[in-house]
Amino acid sequence: MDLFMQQLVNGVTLGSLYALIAVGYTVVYGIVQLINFAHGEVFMIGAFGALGTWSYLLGESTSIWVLPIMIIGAVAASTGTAVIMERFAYRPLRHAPRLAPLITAIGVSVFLQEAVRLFYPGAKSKLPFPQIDVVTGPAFKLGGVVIQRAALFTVIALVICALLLWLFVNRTKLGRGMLAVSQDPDTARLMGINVDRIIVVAFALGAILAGVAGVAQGLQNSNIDFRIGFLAGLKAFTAAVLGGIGNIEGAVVGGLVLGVVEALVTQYTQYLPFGLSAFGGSSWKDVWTFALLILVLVFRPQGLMGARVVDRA
Amino acid sequence: MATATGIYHRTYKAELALRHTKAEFARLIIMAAALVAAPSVLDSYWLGIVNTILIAVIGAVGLNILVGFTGQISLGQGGFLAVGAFTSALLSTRAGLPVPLSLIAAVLVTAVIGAMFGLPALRLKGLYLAIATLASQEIILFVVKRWGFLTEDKGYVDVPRLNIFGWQIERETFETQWYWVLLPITILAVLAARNIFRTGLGRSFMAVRDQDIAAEAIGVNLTRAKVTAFAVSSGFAGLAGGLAAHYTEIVTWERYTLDVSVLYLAMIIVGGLGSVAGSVYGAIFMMVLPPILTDLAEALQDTAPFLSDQLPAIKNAVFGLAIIVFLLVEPRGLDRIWSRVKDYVRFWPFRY
Repeated sequence: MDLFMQQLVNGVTLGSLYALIAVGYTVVYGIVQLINFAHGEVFMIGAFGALGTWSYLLGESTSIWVLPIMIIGAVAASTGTAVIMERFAYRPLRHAPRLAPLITAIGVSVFLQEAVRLFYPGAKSKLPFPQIDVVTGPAFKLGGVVIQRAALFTVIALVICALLLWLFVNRTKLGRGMLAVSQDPDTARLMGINVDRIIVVAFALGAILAGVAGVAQGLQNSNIDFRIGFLAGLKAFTAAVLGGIGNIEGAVVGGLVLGVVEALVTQYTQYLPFGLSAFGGSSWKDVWTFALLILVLVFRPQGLMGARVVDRA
Repeated sequence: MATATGIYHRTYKAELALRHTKAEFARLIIMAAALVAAPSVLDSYWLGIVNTILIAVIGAVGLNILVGFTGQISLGQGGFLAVGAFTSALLSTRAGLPVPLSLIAAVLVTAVIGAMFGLPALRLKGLYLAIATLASQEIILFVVKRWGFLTEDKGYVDVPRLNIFGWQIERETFETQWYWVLLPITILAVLAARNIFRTGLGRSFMAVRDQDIAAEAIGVNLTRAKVTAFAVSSGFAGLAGGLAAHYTEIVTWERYTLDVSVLYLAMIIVGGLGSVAGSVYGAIFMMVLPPILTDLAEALQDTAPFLSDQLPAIKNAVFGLAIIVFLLVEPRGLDRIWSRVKDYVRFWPFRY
């Protein structure tokens, strides 16, 4: 039972990370029907932004007050990247065939990875992420279940971000503008909504959460490298599809479900019969995740929560 | 019969011909002459590039059957190439099968796996299908990367130098001999692809692309068309992957990443979606560009030395730029540009 609970905790931690990134996919898709493949890289740049802030601005201090500043640094880096990306890579292609932005996104993703590898000092190999005493100190124990402090940080970050996002979308003028544009951009434009600005806001919102996720990832794994974005991005996209792409609550739920499923699969595929256990365990969990993605796409493309826009064409 | 107002056919037989005009026959003869002369004119560096082009042409034609002719976007080409490469390499090294047989096996195995991963296409379209094929690409890549059985835990498969029933490839004439192996296979593959679209099956692919609901209404079996398209396309990819395995004499997962899928997609976009000739042009364009850029950077070494330092980045940038320019300016690619040139010449001096 303890083992199960432990995997559940691991799953929720992992899931919170996926959820934070998945929101970025879903928000952008809901507004412009674009799968922003480079979003995983935005997350990666968030992590590097935090690291950069810490080593160049904060003098490598380890006390608690640096954490908020690191988060601000991460968010600034990721949001800046996302806004520039939107302006120069996606806006010119808004009316191009839909294959164009998809391929551009893959190109942007490769570009960002290479840029970080070339220009961030020492980024060719793994870089250690700062250890902040309060968040990476000794783990809590609850019965037989170990809860890392960084895990707790991730979950709390998700809860706060989700709450703020919900308030923003439902209670502010800009947020309602987003809802309107996602329903019908042309009518929204006629109502006096600046659609271009809403699109930028959507990219920025996703990037803010991705930046926070970058910090959380760094604290959890205690190191980062320029490749973390691709896989995390693909997983988060799976989460977004699982929850129903275009649906913000769905992305959060999808992320958590995916995280828990992944943790349980990692734990229990080791006991598969007929020698299938060779394909179990942590090194094969990604294969199971992608198989799940294909199955969800085929059998329930609108996702668990139902997408606001069911568009399979 | 070609006149200034168009090409007219007087018999059914004439309409069915692959080549209609004298100019097209002349082009065929020039092309054949160029292909025969190539090994004696080119040095082994450029002949090596020609060989990689020949392999890429097979892969690009295969992908075009799926994306250009059937309208099913696929980001899984790299994975299918990997399946072909590993199948042929393993069967010929560990099972001791002669290479021609292992290549045929590679085609069949890849076709079956391609059809399997094509099943999501029955319910998905467009971007969603692209994501599903991306997931299958990642699954295949993970399997070849992590499954120790495939590489005997070495991470790569060594393929011995090609030896077909005693006919051995020598080191000095490596590229020339390979050229004569690859050229007929590539020509056969291109001809096969060209002829698929003169059969009912090929027409059904195009009907699915143009309007799937209408296609179903006139009696096209959508399931069959889509799954066969995936199988045929993957079969070509399997052939290309298998040939590449024996040509490069090593198989590692690094050669089959997502970048490769995108590169092939770029080839057919630049060349022309839905055109067999276009896939050939695109493969040539994409494979000749890197060495030309390298040469250019070397030539400009004195005036702009920073160019050669940033060469990989510049290559990627030029690739990306080429794709975007083509998608925006000429979505039908080099093939369309070529036919516009032909029309211009034929209709000259008339404007329309």
